[in-house]
Amino acid sequence: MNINIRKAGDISIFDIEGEIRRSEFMDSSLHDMVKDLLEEGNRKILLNLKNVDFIDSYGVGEILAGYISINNAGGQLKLAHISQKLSLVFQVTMLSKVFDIHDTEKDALDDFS
Amino acid sequence: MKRNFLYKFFSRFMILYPGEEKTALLFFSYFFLITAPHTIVKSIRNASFLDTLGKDSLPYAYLLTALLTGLVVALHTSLQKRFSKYKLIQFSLFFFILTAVIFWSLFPYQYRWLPMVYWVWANLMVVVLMAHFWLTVNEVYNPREVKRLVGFFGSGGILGGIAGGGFTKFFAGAALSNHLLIFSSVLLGAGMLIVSGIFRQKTTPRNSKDETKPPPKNKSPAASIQPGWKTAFTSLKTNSYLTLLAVMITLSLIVSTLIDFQFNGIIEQSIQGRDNLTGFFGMFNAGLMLFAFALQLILTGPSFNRLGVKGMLVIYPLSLLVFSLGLVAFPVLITAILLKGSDKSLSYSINQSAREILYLPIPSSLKYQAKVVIDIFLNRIAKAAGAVLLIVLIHFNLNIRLISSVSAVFILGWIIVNLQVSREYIRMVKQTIKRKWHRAEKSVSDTLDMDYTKLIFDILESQKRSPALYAMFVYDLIQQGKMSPDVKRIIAQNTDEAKVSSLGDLFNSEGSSFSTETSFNAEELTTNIDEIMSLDDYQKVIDLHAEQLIRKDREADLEKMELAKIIGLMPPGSGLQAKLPFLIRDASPEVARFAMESAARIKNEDSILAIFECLENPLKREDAVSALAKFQDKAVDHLRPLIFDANVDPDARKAAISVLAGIGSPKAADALISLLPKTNAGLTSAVIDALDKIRSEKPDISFSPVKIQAKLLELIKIHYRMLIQKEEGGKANKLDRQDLKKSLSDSRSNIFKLMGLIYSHNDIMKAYQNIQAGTKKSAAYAFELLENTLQKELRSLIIPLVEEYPPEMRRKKYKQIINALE
Repeated sequence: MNINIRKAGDISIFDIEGEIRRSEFMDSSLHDMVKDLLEEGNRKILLNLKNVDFIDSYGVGEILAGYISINNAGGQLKLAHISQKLSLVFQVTMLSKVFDIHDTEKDALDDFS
Repeated sequence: MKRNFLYKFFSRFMILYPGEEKTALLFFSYFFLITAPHTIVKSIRNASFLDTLGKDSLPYAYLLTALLTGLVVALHTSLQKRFSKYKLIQFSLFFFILTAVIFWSLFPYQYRWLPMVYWVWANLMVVVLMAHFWLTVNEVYNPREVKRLVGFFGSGGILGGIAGGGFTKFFAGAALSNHLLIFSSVLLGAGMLIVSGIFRQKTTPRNSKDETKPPPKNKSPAASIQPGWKTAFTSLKTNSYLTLLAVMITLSLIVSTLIDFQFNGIIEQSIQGRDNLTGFFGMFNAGLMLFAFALQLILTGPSFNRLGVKGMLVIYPLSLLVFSLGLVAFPVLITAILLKGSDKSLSYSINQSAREILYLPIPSSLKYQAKVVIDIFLNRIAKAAGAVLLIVLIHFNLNIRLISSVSAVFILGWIIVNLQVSREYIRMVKQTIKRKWHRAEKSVSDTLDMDYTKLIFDILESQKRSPALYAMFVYDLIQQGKMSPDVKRIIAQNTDEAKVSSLGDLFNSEGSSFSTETSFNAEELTTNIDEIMSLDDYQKVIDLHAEQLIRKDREADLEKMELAKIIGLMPPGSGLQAKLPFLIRDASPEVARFAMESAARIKNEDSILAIFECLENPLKREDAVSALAKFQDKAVDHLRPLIFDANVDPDARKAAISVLAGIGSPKAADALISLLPKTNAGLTSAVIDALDKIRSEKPDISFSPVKIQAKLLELIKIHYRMLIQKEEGGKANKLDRQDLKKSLSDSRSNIFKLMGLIYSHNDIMKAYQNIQAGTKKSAAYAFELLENTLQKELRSLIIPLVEEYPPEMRRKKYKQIINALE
């Protein structure tokens, strides 16, 4: 799994590639990366999941932990380009109601206040 | 309707329905007119035989009779195929008139062989005429009618016996015994006229099937229901009940032969001279017929209610056992008279009636075959067996005492067989009638998994509501392992193309890829979602979301429904379960329904109270009933106070009772039974129906009979009061009459349901349904089943409750029972 972080104004965009699963995280987790950004004062984060093939429960947990940290810091987390399958998992778990999910990166960026 | 004199007269003595009086009187007369000559012919038979040949020749007479009976049965079978029953009966009567005249003309010559030939003829006449009489009775009347009227017909026969005995004594006293046979012929001639009258009456609509006509000539004998030798014997061999009947009758006739020999042996020693003997037999036969008549009046009918078939079958051999042992101790004339007297009197009264009733559960075609073989052929074969036994006993010079001891052993065997017959009889009656319907819940649950069906419907409904809800339901289906190809097809038919494609990929139970490279199946999917739901962060996030949702009003109903659903899918121990009571108390019945279903699914006891409150809300009640039932015994303790609280809304109490019925455990049943004595009219039906539901689904569950019996008596009393009200309510308006009719119907149903709790539920329901909605014949078997199943006290209350008495009898009968109950 590769994660590249880029900036679009005050928004930090995580371009994630590969599979988000426990075995893929080596030195630092997705949550750690989110926390680092929050510490640096970045409160608007977009997860671009366009090139994500698979997310296991650990991966969802990472996104959830990030969501909580961002929320507690008064920031915003948005998700873009989630696959149909992940969308359905989110629907089953009701996370579709919690997360702010957008079809495209542009839609998500436009939605940040 | 104006009743005629005959009806008015006879209905004083028995249960007679309008229109039955003429046929009943004809049968009474028919039996009288064959029994009177039968008694005369038998008296002459015994007197002439003992006077000319002596008692030691009797076994040979028995044997010869048996051999010739075989020929008679063969001839009878052959004639049956050619002629109608009517012609056969008339022909037989004419044959016996003619031959009686021939014997009358031969007796003055005092040929030594004549008493032997006469003995055989007399016995054949008795069995043929009796068999024809009972065949005609069985053809004209259904089993219930036979049972009701058999006492009346039997009385005709017994009176015939008394008259025959009286005539014999009179003719013998006037030294005219030779002319008795002419007198018998005259009586048989009158019998021919009566038979003609019966068969004319038989062509009423009730018996429109005219069996008096011979079968069509082109019909093959094999296709005819008329019996052949082979079929008749095969049916005896292959039907265990008929085999038992045959054994029972064989044993009774062997015993009867032994008793006849003992009696005649002692008479031969005590009375000499032909006229003295004829006179004695005439008096004796008349006396025993009087005794039999008294027994018939006192016992037949009421005795069936008191003893049932079992008691009836045992009382006869038991009394013979007592007198046989008496003869072992005191081999004198009086003991012999008592033994023979009890044999014949009980045989003509109780035993004859019981025997005819034993044929009732046999299908009519088989019954016809069996009766001919048993009543005519086996009758004589058994006598022959008794004769052979006697020849052996005489050969070893056994005296009357020892023969009585042997007889007692046979009687013991006979009693054992009778007990077995009575058990088989009840089994046969049970087999004869079928349940007409089962409780709707049972029929549905036998063919349908209700929860599963509901889930499918919810899935289809959720498609219209929200994709999230839809996904949750489909996941639920997968989690329960119920996503079959058929279900997928049903779901797909109701889904637009995009959804079909996505769900088809994700929820493919055969395996699909969550990613293009990684294979993913349903099990993996559920594990993954379970793991997500177990995450602390997930719980925190959803909890926060739930807090916000619960505070929202009706515009968030859909999301609340999603929340309620997802909580039910979460692993055990989730803190979110604490949100369920709030959702159950939500104003929206739909949100409450989803929450109650989830609470029931995860058995969340903290939600019971909230669900319980929903019983009082008509919009939430049904879902609350369904949810509470899933808590099983955990819900019972919560429900107890509600069902006993008279201040609670009656509908809520009824709903609580439905929950207990749905739980169906012994604990739930116990709560309902405790409530039974305290219910008012409104709740009684609900409680009884709930108990009936439990009993029908769990026949092994046992109920304490004390409270049930008390309630049963209370309901029976109320039912009789309503019946009297119905009889007296001539001026009541149509609406009142309809209400009363419904109340009676409900009350009857409740009474049977209560009986179904203490007796075999299936048997009681069979009886109830066939009395309510069966044919006249199946209703008759239903009565038979009740009479042989219920204890005597209850039987005497229940039978009149369902019996359709003639209008004149009803009020009187109902009042008698009410008085007895009070």
